[in-house]
Amino acid sequence: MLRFLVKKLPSILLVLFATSIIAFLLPRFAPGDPAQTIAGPDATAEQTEAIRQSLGLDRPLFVQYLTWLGGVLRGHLGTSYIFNRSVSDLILSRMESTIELAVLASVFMILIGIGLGVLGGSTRSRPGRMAVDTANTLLLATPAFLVGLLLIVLLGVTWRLLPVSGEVPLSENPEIGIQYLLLPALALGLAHAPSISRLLQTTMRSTRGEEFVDLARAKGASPRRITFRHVLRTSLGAAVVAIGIRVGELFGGAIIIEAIFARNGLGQLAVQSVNARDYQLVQILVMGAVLVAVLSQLVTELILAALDPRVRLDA
Amino acid sequence: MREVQRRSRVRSAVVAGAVALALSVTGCQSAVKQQEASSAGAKPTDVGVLTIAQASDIQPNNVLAGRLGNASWAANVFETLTRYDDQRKPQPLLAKEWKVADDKLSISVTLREGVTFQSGRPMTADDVKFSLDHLVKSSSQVAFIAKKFSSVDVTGPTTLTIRFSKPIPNIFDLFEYAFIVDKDSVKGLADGSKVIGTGPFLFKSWSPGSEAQLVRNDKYWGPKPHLDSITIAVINDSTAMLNAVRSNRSQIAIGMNPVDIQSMASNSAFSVVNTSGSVYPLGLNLTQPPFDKLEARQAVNYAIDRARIAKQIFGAAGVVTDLLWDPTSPGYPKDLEQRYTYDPAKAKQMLTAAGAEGTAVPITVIGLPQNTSVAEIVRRNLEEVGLKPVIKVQETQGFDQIQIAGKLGTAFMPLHGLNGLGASTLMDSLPSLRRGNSSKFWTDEYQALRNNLLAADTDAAYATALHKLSEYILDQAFTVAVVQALGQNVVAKSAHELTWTSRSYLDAKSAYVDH
Repeated sequence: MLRFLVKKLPSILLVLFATSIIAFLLPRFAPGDPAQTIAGPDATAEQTEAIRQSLGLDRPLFVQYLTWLGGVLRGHLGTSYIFNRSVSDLILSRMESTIELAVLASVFMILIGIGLGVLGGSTRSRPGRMAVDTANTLLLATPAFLVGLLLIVLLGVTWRLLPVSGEVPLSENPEIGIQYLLLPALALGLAHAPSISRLLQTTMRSTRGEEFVDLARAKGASPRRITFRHVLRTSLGAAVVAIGIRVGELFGGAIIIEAIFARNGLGQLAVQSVNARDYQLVQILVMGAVLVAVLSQLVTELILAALDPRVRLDA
Repeated sequence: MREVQRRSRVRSAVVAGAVALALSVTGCQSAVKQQEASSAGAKPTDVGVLTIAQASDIQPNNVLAGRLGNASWAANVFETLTRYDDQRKPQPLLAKEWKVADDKLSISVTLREGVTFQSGRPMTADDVKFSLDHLVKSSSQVAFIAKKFSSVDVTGPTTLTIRFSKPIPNIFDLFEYAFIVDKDSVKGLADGSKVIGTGPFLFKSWSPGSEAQLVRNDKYWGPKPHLDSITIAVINDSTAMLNAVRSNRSQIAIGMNPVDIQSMASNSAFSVVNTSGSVYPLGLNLTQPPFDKLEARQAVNYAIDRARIAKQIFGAAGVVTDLLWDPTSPGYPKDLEQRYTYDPAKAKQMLTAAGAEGTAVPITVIGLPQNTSVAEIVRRNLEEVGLKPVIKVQETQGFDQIQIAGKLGTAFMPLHGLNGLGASTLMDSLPSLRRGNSSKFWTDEYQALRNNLLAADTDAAYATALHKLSEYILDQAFTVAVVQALGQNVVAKSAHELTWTSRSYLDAKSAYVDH
């Protein structure tokens, strides 16, 4: 495994280097700059220029890039232009919210996705399959924000069972915190689950026709054992890849669900920093999102190798 | 046997999970009840928490400028020398009294005694001088007024004299804006780490882009506030803001979507509070055809159906006026409000006479929802009279950038906050009117009329000067006031005794909340 990770290292570094250039240039292509945001719409040209100089935005681009990259390599992620606070502090303050939501949403996504997938890939009866297919299609057709809004109207406004606005960190009060977390996590989980279940269902159905399944059946293995020991295990590969991609997305910040449930995770921080042209913050958030995606892909490959002996990491 | 045990473990885990989930929903502590209870306070003397949902983040680094994000908290932590009452007459706050010299070239201010900063340090005239100096360097809309001071002389611990070379009739607009900051901790404003004023609430914490908390200042020089604390939740998403108010998490919503405001207005548990609004101008560039011709500019005024725009886009918040001044401001020339009536036939005739019929008119529009809606009706109105307008929507940041650079093009639609300011201040703070405006308009007569307004020494003289200036602006038609819209905040009826200053800042020192 170590050899596998060492072999991957150069490509990871190359991806991160390319990302650093894109993350640096992309926000600067957009009109406006942080000085404009700070000065406000009624500012005079002199007021704006004075702020621009104080932020060092009047220096050549490559000087700004090298200064920033040098800082990042030394572990200094920079200071937010808009909030005047260190970027690492700003990200850390939002990290718990994003991790809590991503973890619980992943749990919901995996449970619902694999549950529906196994049901759809196992049931032989026509009505049963239709029920699972209908559930899958409905969930696939319903975007996360709509699921979120329906949950808000039903469980937060009509029957006020759960809070629908704001958050309390689990580290502060787990009992209250989980109540704030349930609906947004469920909305996210439900939105991501059907793509996993669809994939799993299809793979399981085709695996059921394989010879080793017939052999197990001939040897008298119970249907449950065939499903879970033989069919599910060998069918999980594609679902694991899909789960890996989805989990990576979730940890990058769930922008829309965070917005409608008024949670303050990394997704919202990214939106605010883009709107305010807070270059320093945008750059690190983009780098972070790419890093999380790369890491989740690595973990996916490790899990695949553990699940399927035919997959060799060192090959 | 092992299989049975395994199944039993799985079942136990499922049951335990379900129980945990049920407990979390129906268990000892309910987050929903906690949210409702947090605003409890049956009488004014009781404790309570006021929660405010607002679309913009707070900006401690810009506390001296007018910013929507600061409307909820700044006037609760900081105080000004004076504050306008409902009649826009300055009333004492940190200043106990003041006297304008007979030659109107200085004002002597005596401060209230016994006022301390929240750090415990007494507030003195030196702090006022420091704050005024600090304001000059800020991006405040009224910084230009402070730049006219020739000196600020501290004459005693609680007395100072501000001198100027020309009379400054709008000095109380400056006082309304100039929060007195603590010179020892002013650097903490940059990142919000130390925010210290003299107000009834202490600035406890700020999580940028997320939430800020104020707590009662038990050592406040005035009557003690009722509320324990004020929580400000930054909620950018309009749906989330609506949810926050409907689910009783927040008692006040600042910056709510106008469509949602209309729906909340019909809810008996809420009221809508009107505050100082905004003006939506259509700027016309005098250096580019067809607006280099006066007749073409005036024709645009006749072409615009202001009443339709006000009603259709802003409903009850829409104000139909041809002027860029706040209708409640002193000397407002009401008789000029409807100078140009909607008359497309006349507009068409004037455009033909000016040889402008069929001219392409690119209109740069700031990309805010209301602006683009207003622009669509303006486009249609201009098409009806024979022009060929093309809307070019620019994102806010990009628009501001080219506005400051003075490169908005032939026609443009910015958005200006009136911020409770009088005409004598607005003529220098509004980008559409001040020197260097994007219409490229400036004449000696315009300068003279502006000077006359500043030199007016009585209310009657001020009204006359403002009338003449307004008439000139309307005649020259370099900027067309399309519509004004009042600011609107949604307030739950469970929140009482909230005071909104003339610049729409919340003062919650007497506020309390109940169910």
